[in-house]
Amino acid sequence: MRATVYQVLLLASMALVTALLGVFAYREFFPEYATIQNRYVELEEIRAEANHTTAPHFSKDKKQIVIPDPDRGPEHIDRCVSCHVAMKLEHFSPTRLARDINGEIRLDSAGNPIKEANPDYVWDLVDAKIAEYKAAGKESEVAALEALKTVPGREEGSAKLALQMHPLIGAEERPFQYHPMETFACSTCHSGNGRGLTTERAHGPVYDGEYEVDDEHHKVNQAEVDSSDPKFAKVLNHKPGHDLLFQTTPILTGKLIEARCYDCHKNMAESIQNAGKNLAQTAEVEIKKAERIEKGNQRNINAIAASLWLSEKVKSQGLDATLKYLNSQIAAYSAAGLEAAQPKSQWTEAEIHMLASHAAMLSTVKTDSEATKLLEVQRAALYPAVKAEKFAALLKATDTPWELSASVRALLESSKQLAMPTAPFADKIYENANSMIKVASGLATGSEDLCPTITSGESLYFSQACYACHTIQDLSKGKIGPELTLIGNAYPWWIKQSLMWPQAKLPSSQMPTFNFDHVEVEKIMTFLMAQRQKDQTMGAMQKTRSQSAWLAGGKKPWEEAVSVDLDNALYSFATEGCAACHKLDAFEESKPTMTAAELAWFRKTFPEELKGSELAAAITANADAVRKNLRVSLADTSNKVLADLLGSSPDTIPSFYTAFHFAERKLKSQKEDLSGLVSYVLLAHINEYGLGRDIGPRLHTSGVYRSEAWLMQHFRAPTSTSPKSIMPPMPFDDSKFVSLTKALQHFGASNTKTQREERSLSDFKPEVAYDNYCASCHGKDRMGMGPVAQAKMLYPLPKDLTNSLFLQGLGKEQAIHSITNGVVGTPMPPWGVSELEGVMPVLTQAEIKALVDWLFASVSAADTAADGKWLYNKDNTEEDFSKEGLTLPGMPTAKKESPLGAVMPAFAPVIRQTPYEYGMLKAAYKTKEQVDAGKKLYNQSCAGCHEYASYGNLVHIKDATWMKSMTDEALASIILTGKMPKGMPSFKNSLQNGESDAIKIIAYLRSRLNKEGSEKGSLEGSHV
Amino acid sequence: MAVLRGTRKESWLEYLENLPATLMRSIFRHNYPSNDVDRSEIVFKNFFLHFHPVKAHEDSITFFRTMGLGTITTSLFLILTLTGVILMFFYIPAEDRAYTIMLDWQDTTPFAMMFRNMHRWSAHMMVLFVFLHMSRVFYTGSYKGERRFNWVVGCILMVLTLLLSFTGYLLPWDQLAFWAITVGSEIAGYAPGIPGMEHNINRLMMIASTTVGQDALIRFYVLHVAVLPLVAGTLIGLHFWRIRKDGGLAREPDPIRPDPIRVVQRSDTKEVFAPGVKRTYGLMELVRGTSPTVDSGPNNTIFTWPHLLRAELLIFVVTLAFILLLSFIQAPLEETANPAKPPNPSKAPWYFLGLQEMVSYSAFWGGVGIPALIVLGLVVVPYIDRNPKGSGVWYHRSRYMAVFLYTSFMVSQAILVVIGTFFRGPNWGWIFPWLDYARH
Repeated sequence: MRATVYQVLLLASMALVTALLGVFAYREFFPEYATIQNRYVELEEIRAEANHTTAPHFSKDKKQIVIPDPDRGPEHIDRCVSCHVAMKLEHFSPTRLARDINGEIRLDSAGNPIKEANPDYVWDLVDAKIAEYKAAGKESEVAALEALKTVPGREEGSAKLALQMHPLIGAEERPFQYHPMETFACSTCHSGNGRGLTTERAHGPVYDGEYEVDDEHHKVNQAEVDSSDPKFAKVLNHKPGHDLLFQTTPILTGKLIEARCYDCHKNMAESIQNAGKNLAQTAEVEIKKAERIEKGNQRNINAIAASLWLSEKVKSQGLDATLKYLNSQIAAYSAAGLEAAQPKSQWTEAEIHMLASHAAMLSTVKTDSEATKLLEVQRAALYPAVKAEKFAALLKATDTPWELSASVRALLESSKQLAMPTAPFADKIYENANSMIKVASGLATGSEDLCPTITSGESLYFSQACYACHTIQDLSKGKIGPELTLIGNAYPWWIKQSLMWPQAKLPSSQMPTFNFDHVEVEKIMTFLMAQRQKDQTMGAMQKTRSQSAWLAGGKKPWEEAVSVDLDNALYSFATEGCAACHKLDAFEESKPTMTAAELAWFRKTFPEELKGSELAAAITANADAVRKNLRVSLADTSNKVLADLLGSSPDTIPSFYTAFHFAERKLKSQKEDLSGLVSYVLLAHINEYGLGRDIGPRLHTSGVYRSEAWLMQHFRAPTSTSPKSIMPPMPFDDSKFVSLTKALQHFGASNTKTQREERSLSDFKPEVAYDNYCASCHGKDRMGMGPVAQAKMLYPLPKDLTNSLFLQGLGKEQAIHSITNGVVGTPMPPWGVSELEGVMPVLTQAEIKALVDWLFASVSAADTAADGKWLYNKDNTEEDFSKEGLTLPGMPTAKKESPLGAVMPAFAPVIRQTPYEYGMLKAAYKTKEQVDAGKKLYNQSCAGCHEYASYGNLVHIKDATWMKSMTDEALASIILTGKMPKGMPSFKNSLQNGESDAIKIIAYLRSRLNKEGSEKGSLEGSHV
Repeated sequence: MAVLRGTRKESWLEYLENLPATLMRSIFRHNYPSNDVDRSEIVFKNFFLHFHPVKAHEDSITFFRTMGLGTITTSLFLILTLTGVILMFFYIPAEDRAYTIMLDWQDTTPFAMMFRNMHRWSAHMMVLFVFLHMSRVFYTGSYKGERRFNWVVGCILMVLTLLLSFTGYLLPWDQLAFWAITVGSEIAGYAPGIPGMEHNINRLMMIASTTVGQDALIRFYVLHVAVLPLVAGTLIGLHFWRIRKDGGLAREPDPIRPDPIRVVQRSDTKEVFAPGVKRTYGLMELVRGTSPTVDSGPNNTIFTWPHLLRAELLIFVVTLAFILLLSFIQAPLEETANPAKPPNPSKAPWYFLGLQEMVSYSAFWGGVGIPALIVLGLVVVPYIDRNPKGSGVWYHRSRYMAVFLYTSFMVSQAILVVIGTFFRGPNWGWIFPWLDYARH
């Protein structure tokens, strides 16, 4: 029985093993490349049949290009040609070179050959045959021919794609004319795994859906997806799974391939720049040489002067006295050197050295005459052509030998004995170098660039402020983000992911999400992928030199000092990174282009925050109105800065407007192409809402409420004014900061003025003011998620103003105070303050009050005590105190006096009072007993969360900056009403004596703060 | 009357007639095993089979006695040797070539990927099955009495298996290999070295340099393809030979216990053993019907050919099929080794992750102290287990304490391995694999 079972099992498992081995054998004997090679042979046969010729001989096998390693390392092997067998065959190209009547190749205006349809295209032959069979109704033949186009198991048309001639690049007249395949190999330019023989492993993870994906959570990379998205949208979006993890170099598609061209080809501008740099280096070498010659000359002159002077001295005083004198001088010098307090001797160090060497020389001789002779011999040795008498003639009694130097020099120069330094040539070389570099900057946007995508990418690297955080050797020195010098070696999908959602791999990353459009991502990515330090155009020595100059702190163009000029400042704002995160309303047309009514229409039709699809829909719906009302397009702008931008860095303005990119593509794909209108809307948009992106606060009026000192401080060290700011310290000269400050002040004042004028026309409407000033952070719906807050780079995130609990806890007075003076330590600015003379603040006190009233009125139960909850205002407190029958120590006991009035002075509605001046406990109540009692209460009721479990926002209480921005009143209010949204319960009932206990706790907290402040020093006054 | 005659010299015709038989006979010294004599002869006259007994106890092929774990391990060793030798023909142990060869194997070298996958998964499986086999031996108490030392040999084989796996891990020269070995050699570096020497001697001996590089690669290669397999093969032979000498697999005494020396003559065969064996029985009666013990003699023994050999072959083929099935999963290959780009976390191979987990608490104890104690503790098991009962019995009642201790030890090690494999993320911090785990 068992024997039978085992026998059957044995036979079955043997059959299984045989079958499995069969599967492996099948895979081995029918590889993918063989399928394609079979297709190729069939195609050649079809062509031969059509042309009545014979098909060329073709041996079916693996094919490879092997390039030996110069250092006898592993060879570079590319087996791409195993599948792509038709790379060089002209009948596999859909186009061919157009020829004129003489058989010469026709060239276009750029000097490149013109191409025309190829009548000999094999795949066209196949299509013709298919049509023929179809007409004849031969279904099976049609199917067989259709099957030729596809490799089984791969996407439609894959064989057709694989069997193509390599397209002609630029001026090429035949494939691989300038880049012979046999010497370059495929993967040198195209990247990929040359050793692979299957599509998946050779090409690597490139197109979405064509490779297995690592099961990570993925965030949506684009706000909107549409069928009109470019091809690049579906490329390199995911980390590959287990099977392709080794494939670190997927083939480069589309423009990305420029990243490899860049290793050898620089655009004209860069070549000239490099040549200029070379020249400058040569000049430096010449200057150094000249300096050395001059130094040698001077030394010799000094030596001759010294010997003349000594000869005289020996003659007049005798050898011994001279030596004595010399030694005394040397001793005096060294003594002076030892004791810094003593006045220095009259000799310099070089002179003393020379005297010392002469003294040593003289001490070898005995007599005066010997000494004189020795000195003469020395003179003669230095300049033998000059006669001794000529030197002797110079001699007159002088205190030091150095006074003789000038006459010695004159003598030597007159007798042409001095070697002349060559520095003047160096100056000329420098001039040339500088002019070359200037020419290069003029060429920077020339159309002859070989790698336009990389040039665009580089300009985006600056205009998107990448350079302020990241280092690329010899380019930028940002210290905040990771270095990108060798980023081209990273996985392409990783680069793309990091660009589009920086937190995907590193949740703590502070890099904001810029919401780039595919177009921008492609450009930046190409630029980044070129960063491999594999530049073949510069010699190793040149590279080392230029890098060491960079390391030594050589200034880059953007770091140079600039003249203070509004247009310059705006240009910097747009191209050097500010606009990547901030919006500024400063780019108006020179003449108003819209009437008030049209403006109102524009605002209504095209609000600031429109998604791409909404924008496209709005343009489609209002095409006629757009044509009628918006009369100027971006290309015809009369704003000087905008026009400059369009000319010199055309990628800058569109890069901030992903929605417009999207709308333009979508409109282009529609039946009626309305994409031309996008430019009109964009200009109106920039005029009306400002230029830039919403990641940091909008700067329209910041010049008004921020002082010059504050702005300068913020530019130099952003976190010193805004503790959790992600803004990098920009690598600018102070003059540029001043320039930017002036610009902010100028446009702040003008924007405030415009807004006031508009307001006076229609009286003050709180909801309009809210939309103008508050909504960018707090959101139009007041939920705390405005466009700026959505980038999630503000800390803390803006408050939810629809939360009645928050408003209850805040109280109207505190709200007014916060709006007027801002909240220290947060991005909330002081709207009621004007730092500019003669300029009204953005909001006056009356306006702020109206705004607060409107805010509270629009939220139900914001200013009422809901279900017995204590609302902290004066009247309630008074009532509470009298109800509880409490008296506070040191407080007048008379019942009629308001206890609150005694504890907290009335609110002073004066602008710019520091929080300490009102809403604070009187010093009289911060007695030791109070503090001690407060400490006990704090340890009982608060410490559990705030001291020991320091997570989330609980640490606020330890944060001196935050504590100082809160009034005692606000703290008491938090203690007694709680902060339900954050999870803090009301302590009104759990504290035995209600408010008086709260006051004790506050007294303790303040005393603690002061203590810590005085101990650490940094806490106290760190924020004011 | 018998006439003594010499063997008649065969004629040429007869010689030619007998030639095929002569040839066969010169190769195989036995007839086709169609009867019990030949079944015996095939075992003791065949070099490849002679370490088997002629007859084995039927328990040997009862599946749930051993579950074939030892045979599976041996099968894996054979598969590994075979595939390994094939792969050696294509491999170059050089820092700059090893990885490109892995790339060539993927598509170009015929069947290379099949062999590489088989080799890889067999290696992992062998580590697993060595432990399963050890557990079987422990739970059935099969290390008692004269089998004590064979347990020690088994322990040495276990260590050799781990070393073989570990040394092979480096050879693909990708990130996975490089960093696993770097971590492994760091662990070795926690063992106390020679005082006053700048580098830890253990680590230095292992990787032949201060960092993992060409020296480590050639050292690991030689260990992996020559030294360790040779030692392991020899010890495997010893392991089997001792089982044979100790009377086959450990088993319970048969309920009815005939004298094992005496051999039963069966009516349908010739006398197997030499005459003179004392007959202890006689023919009492002839009963009609089938015999209740068809495949085994009265001693519950069976003939090795075909029963035992068939069972062994079955297990080998099933193992082979299993490994072939696994080989459809591609052996991992990551980017080429890059000393400048450590993955976070760098993990050792899974069977060392228990160690790595312990290392994260204490470098010396986790990496050196405890592992050494574990091996030592396992080696001395048969010498401290003085309970004579339970040999060949699963979970004998008298061994509850031993079973409990062993089980808790193995489970704790398994838990450590699982933690190290799945619950450790960047900086060896705790993660939950089902939540978002961003690898760097």
